[in-house]
Amino acid sequence: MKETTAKIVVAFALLLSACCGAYTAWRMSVTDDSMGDSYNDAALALIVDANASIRASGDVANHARAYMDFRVAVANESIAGEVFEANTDETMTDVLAEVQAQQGIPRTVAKSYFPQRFVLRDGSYNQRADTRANYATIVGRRTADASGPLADAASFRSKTDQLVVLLFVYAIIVLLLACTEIIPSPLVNTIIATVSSLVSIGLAIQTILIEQVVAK
Amino acid sequence: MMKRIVDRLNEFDGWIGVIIGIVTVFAGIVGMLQVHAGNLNTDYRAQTQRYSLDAMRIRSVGETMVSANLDYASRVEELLTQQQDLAELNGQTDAITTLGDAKDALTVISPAYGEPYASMGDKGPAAYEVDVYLRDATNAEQMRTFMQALDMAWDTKANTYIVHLTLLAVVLGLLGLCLVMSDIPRLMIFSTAIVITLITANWSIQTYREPLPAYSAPAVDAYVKAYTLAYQADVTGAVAAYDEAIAALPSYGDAHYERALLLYTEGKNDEALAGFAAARAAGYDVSSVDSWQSYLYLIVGDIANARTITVEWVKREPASPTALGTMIAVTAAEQDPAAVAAASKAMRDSAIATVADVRAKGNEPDEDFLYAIEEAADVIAELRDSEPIAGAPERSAEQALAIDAAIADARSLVTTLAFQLTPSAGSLQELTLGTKDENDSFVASDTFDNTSFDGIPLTVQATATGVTAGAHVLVKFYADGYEDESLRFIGDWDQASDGSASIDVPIDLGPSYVLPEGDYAVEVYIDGTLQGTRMAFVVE
Repeated sequence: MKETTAKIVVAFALLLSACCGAYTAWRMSVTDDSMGDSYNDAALALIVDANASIRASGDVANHARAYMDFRVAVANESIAGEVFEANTDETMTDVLAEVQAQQGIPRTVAKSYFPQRFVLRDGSYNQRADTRANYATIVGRRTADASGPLADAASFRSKTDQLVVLLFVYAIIVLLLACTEIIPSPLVNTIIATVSSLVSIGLAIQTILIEQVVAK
Repeated sequence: MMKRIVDRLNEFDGWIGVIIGIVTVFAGIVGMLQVHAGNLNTDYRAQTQRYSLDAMRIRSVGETMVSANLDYASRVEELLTQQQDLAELNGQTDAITTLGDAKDALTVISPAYGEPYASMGDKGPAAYEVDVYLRDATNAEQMRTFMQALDMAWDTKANTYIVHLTLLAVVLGLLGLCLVMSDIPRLMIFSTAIVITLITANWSIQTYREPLPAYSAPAVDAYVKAYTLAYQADVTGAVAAYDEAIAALPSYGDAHYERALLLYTEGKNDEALAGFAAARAAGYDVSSVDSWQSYLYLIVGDIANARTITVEWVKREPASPTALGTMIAVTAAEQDPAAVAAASKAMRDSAIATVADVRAKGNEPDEDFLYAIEEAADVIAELRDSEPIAGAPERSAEQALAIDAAIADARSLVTTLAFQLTPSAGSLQELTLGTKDENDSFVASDTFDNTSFDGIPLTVQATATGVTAGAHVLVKFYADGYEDESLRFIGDWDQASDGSASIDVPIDLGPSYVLPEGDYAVEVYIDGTLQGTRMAFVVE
């Protein structure tokens, strides 16, 4: 084996490992960027969730208060009705009728401030269902579940970690190729260069495979 | 010798190539560490954001629901009870039943009134709050604290590795230059490259070995349990749970601090002091620890330690009203009236400068700032009035006067800063509390009943000296030691500048309002300056 041929093979191997290394570094950069994007998506989803939860709880709290007011108003109206029915004094009839009518006003007002579909048969107010309904309305079509983007981010993180190991292997290849400078045998240098070239190609293929794998 | 080295180096082109390869591998290792640290940094940052948002959401939602299901429902219950009492007075049996049914309905309308809380008695509301949000919010807040510490630690590591990579890039450049140089320049550049590589290698190892903030999930669980038990007034259970948290994570600053606070409320001052010391050692917020330790040292009579801590605290935070206020308390515990006056002046000057600075920027001072000054005055007054420590020297009359002046000065300072007043020379002496009878004559008294102020104001009788017309008059009311701002009286001086004067303070918060039974006190301010001292009265 001629020394010139060996040097050409080594130079080719260096070029190939540099190109393959650059490709892996590029893909790692893209994966890293995607990880950042996923974390941003997760943060946005968390903000949507927090915003919707807070607004929904405000609405539900108002509904609960209105329902309590309604129950008090119903009791008061009922008491006014009892007084009206027990009345035997004709001169008081009109006054009591007016009182009864006025007692009905708060009931009507309070009733309009809570959705009646959430009042259950036992007289309780289904706050959980009201919260869910409000939450769904506020969230609309936006994503409020951060688990998906967080899982994506974890997947991208795993890929980045694997790709950086490949980059380390490229660095070892460069070291091996540098060692050819101090090895006098053209045959040994050619073998080193050939193996390095094959490993570089293998690492480039591995880069593609890592990218395609869907992390659990 | 030198020439021999240079000659050898000139022959070493191949070896320089190998060294370049070795440095490249080293850079690869540092690169891997950097990517790993960067990824963890991003991950912990995301978790910090997540727990921050979770804590905010859980607390906000929880407080909203508690305000409806507990606070509002209790007001409704109170209203229904009042109506029931009225119906009972009028003999309306049907109405009593109807209103009783409405009250019973609260158990199904409000979760806080249902089971299991209904059968828990006084502990029900706190248990409801814990279940609705406090447990989860505390957990999220603690997790945020830990994740934030880890985020910062990994961020520092990732950034340091970037510096290492930059240095290694410089080394690779220098080694590349070596190949085109010879003789002394080659030796110089080669030596520099090797030195930088060795420094970087050592630094990288140090960075890799740098310990990370400790985190323990069982410790957080125990902390949350302890915190929620303390909220439900189970001090023994809470202390035991804090012990559990500390056993799981000895450097858990929050657990040491909260445990120490509980021990203080139990009157175990020495144990509380040890707990605060442990919190300090664990890196808990140093100002909070300073505040408690100096206060507790003053309570137990260890003035020297109180002074040591406070001096360091003031050095670190020279504009903190709490630190400066504590310094007054320390000097008050000693026997040097001049030192009390100097400490009082230091706080006054600092507070005035701080507020002027804030207002120059078009803002208003933070309420906590003014509250800290007021609290400092309360602490000094509390220590002044507390039982003397056994063996402590008796307080001289001069010292007592200096302490009273410092308390009055701090309280006046709060008022002048809050109302933007300029203290004037006018003053009131011989202040006396009382009411006026049907002949408009002043009747001095410090004991009243529920009907004393039924259409009748509280009167402060005094002798005025040089109070100018239109001077700002402020009367503050304190109920059980805390100011009730709803009773504040603000007016202008409309009486003679000198001589006998009386300030009528109406206590009227509504047609059916009566001042509840309790211990009260009033303070009178003229142009922001406290006149006399806080005057106590009782409503029986």
